[in-house]
Amino acid sequence: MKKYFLLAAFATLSLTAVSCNNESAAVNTVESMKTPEMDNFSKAFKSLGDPQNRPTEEEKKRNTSELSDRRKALLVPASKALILSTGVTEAELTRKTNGDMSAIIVWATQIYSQKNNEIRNKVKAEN
Amino acid sequence: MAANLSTGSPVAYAAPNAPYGVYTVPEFVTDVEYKTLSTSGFSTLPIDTWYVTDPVYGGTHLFSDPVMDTVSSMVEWGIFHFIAKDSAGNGTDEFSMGEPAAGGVYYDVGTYSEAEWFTIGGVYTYLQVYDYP
Repeated sequence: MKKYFLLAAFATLSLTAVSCNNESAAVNTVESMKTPEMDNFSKAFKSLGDPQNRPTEEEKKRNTSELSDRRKALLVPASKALILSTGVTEAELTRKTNGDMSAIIVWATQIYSQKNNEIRNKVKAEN
Repeated sequence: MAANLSTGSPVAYAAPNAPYGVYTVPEFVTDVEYKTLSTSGFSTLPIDTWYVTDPVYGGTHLFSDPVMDTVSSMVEWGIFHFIAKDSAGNGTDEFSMGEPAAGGVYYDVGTYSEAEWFTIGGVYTYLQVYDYP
């Protein structure tokens, strides 16, 4: 498998069907347990859908799935903040990523995913 | 769907997740991650079964079937074809997001929502759906 797959559906939109169960209550608890850094990371990804951040005609013509540098730059500050919130130092971050935007975002995505799982497990254990 | 996009085989399709008749993302479920086809049953939104088309590995396989390790190593994420629905359950927009080689597009705008598929660093593939405020 070359790539992990991440699915994010924002706001109240549901895909393919409407559930009749009480999922929202559990999810709200997960949402409320996210750290501010996790929230901001999620918001940064969501902001890619804001009118000014959508892909430009030039970017759409590139014939690659890789996110453009302009749009990656929108994710970097929140990614860095999330990494630093785990106790990693600025120096370590620079050394490990060489300032490469992709490396920073990928690292932050791994952290976000792991923290999400931890929160979900905690919520599950409590219910 | 995940596939070997160079050769066209194998292709793996996510099976329906009970109680739905098709593979369904319930509302409010976000941040779903699939690392491999052979671990998809452990995801927040599990994919328990894969339909695989291939001369050697074809068939209906549980994600935990050892054959899915092999299939997983041969494929990449190809396409996510879906219908977005409103809170009343009415279909609003239809999207085929993914690699052009699999019949997908990277970015698409619907009437009520938009969707995009992108990769970062060749490590993660992201599928995002935005609704219009």
